[in-house]
Amino acid sequence: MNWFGPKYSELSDEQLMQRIGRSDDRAFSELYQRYQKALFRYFHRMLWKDREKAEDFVQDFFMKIIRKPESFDASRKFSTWMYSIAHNMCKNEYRSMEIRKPSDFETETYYLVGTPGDQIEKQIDRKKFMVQLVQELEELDENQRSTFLLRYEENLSIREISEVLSCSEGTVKSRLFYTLRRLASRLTVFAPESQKVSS
Amino acid sequence: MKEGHSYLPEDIETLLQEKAFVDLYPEEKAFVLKHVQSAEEYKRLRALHQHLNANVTDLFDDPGMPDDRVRQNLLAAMQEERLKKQALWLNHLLSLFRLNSDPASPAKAGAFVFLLLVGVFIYYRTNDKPKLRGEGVVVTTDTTKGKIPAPVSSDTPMAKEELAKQVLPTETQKQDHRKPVPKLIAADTTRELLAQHINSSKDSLPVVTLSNDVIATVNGTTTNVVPTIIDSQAVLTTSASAPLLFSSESATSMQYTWTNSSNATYAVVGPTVSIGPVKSRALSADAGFMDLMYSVK
Repeated sequence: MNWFGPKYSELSDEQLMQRIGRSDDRAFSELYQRYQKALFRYFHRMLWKDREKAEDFVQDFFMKIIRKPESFDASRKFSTWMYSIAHNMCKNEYRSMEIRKPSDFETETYYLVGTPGDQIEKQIDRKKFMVQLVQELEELDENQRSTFLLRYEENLSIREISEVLSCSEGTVKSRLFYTLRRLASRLTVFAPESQKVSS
Repeated sequence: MKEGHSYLPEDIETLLQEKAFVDLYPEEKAFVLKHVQSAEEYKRLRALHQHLNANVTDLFDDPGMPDDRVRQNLLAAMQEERLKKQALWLNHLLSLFRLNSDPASPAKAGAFVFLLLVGVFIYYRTNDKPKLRGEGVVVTTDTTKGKIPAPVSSDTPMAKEELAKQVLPTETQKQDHRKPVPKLIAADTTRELLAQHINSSKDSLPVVTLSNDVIATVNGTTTNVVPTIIDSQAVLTTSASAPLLFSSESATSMQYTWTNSSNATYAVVGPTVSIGPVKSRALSADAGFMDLMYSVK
């Protein structure tokens, strides 16, 4: 018996959601702590790197949890549910915006602090690669971009992505393949020879 | 991938992840080459796939955390929501007490009545502590008139002596029975009624007030009395000439006496002790005693 209540850090996301349903502040803080970064990163990527907008979306998402915790389907994994809500929020935003905001990737900085001299050239290549990658991602439609980000940045499984995007696993794989092929053909800076991939 | 497997285009993602081109089975190679132009493209795709898997998080700039104001806003909203829920809960509870607001809800009305009864029960259980230990029954002095000494004029020394013999203990008796007496506690209502009855008598009987700490007030003078036991009866000796007799915890009868304005001493004796609200009273002016019918507790 725990006299001081549960250790929130040891509770699962789903258990935390149950407690949030009972207006448990600490459970909410713990859940927010766990996902604020990933969710913010996702919104940031999906919403043209608009930091303020991404923050607003993070706030809106967690507001939904506070106001309607019962909307969480307890049979689902929280992270999957979270990304599916986030994805829908982005889709709605795209619809409301109707136009795509131009990428501001050129204003980004890529720090080479502490990079050994002999690796600078490689780092610059990586920077070029990153810039091109971001540019290419901006060109993708939201489903493909979301699929790509969830797979490579958020490390979700194919199954989880299919749940998030409400599509089959085959569709997810197809989208990934399509995106990969597109990127491979356009990322000129990407040199497969230097990656030492056995083939 | 096993031989004979019907490959779907989306399986390329799995193949890219797991196998180099040279490791592919002939069927897999055939399948792959339907969707990519060459082995070279497969290699490029695989390299890109692995590169992204390994580095994409590093490649992207890290936007960091959302501003702390987001967290503050959310915590404030959380608190507000909690208060709202508490208020809703309280309102729901209070709505049970508004019977007229939902006349079509007998369940709510029933719940209200039940809560009310429980509340009353708890109130009386906590407040209605026994005021007089050993109480059981109430007394009617009708049954005890025979034991009551006849009114005697205290003017005559003979009469005083008579009364003293009947009511006051002898020195020997006092010594024999001198022991601590349990507190005699009369309920407030009883005390007040008793005082009222005596006050309202036309004989201007002295006020006799019982209190929790056994204080007798005779002729308007409050006196702390030290009761002693005489034959299972507590005798409250006051500074006034009239002794007041009360039952003790173990007493089977209750007796009290007073002196009227003409200095005659009267006594009322009851068989058992139980102080409850007075149901009826009868003052016998000529005899000088009062019949008090108490209710049984």
